[in-house]
Amino acid sequence: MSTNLIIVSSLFCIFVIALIIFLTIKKRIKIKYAIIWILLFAILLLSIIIPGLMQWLTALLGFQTSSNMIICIIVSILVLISIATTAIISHQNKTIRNLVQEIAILNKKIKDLEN
Amino acid sequence: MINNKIIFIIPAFNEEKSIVETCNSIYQYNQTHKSNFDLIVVNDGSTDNTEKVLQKNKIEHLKLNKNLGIGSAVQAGLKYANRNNYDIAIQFDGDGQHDINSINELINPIINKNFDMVIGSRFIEQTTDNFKSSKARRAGIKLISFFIKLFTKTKIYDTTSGYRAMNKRTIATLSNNYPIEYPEPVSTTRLLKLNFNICEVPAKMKERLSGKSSISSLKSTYYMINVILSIIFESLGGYKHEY
Repeated sequence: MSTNLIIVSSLFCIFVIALIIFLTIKKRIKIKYAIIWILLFAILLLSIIIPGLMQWLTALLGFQTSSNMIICIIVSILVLISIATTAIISHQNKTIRNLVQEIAILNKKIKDLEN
Repeated sequence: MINNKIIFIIPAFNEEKSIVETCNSIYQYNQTHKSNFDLIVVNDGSTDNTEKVLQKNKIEHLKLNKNLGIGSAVQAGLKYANRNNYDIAIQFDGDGQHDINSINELINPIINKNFDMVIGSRFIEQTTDNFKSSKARRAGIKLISFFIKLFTKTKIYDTTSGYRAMNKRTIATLSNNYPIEYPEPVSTTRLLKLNFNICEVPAKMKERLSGKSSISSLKSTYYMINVILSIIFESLGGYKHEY
């Protein structure tokens, strides 16, 4: 990899990690979801800045170029994260549904008692 | 029949024009037949004046704060029926499609023959109504019927009928876990997989008073694929442990 690419991609990784940490501190992301993102970009950052690691991995996994390998790995991980997110959304849907139903039933009970 | 607590569950989403008439048909039936049916309208987050109309006419109802879809609305009604110890719950459309005069045929198999659920069917022979549905829709319902038969070995003709009577055991099971998408065919599949006894009786259905069916023709292909997949997943899923 060229030096420019190493600098740009390292800065990007650092930016993402900082963003995730910021959002976590602001309580907009739960820590348990933040950890996977931080870990992912930390590993990416390490593999970018440790010289020779990327080349070694590329050869080991049989990719033609390092960039191919990085894209492939990132896409795979994103797919997994999306599936996990879908599962989380489905679960939350169910929770919301139950809550709305409960509120409706309790509301009726309160109104019946008031009358 | 006199000793049974019976409730009509009427899901309503933007049914301001027809909901009062639907409820009145039940009140009138009570008067003329000296029956004692309760009803609960489930206002599924309507954006029109359904809520106002319900309050003004003092109709018993649950108000869902958000639109959750018909499956969740029916489930809310079932939860209400379960907690208030009803013996039989009848799912009844808010748009005036279903005819209350078929009610005895629907509840008799539950009371006299211990059926768990009775489906009011548009398609079994003695039906004497003038319900018209498009060829495509009939074909769709037949296809769903075929898949339910394939996976549960039971023939249900009117798989999408929303006019159904349920006994206590079915109320408890479905209020606990009700399919949200394509609720009628999927819940039927689930109950059959749990070895519940289901039968069909002919029921009259009228033209819709107003409002649109939840199944539009454009989306029907997508709908069919989804329903069939849901039935397959449902019959593979391990709901057997629940009862």
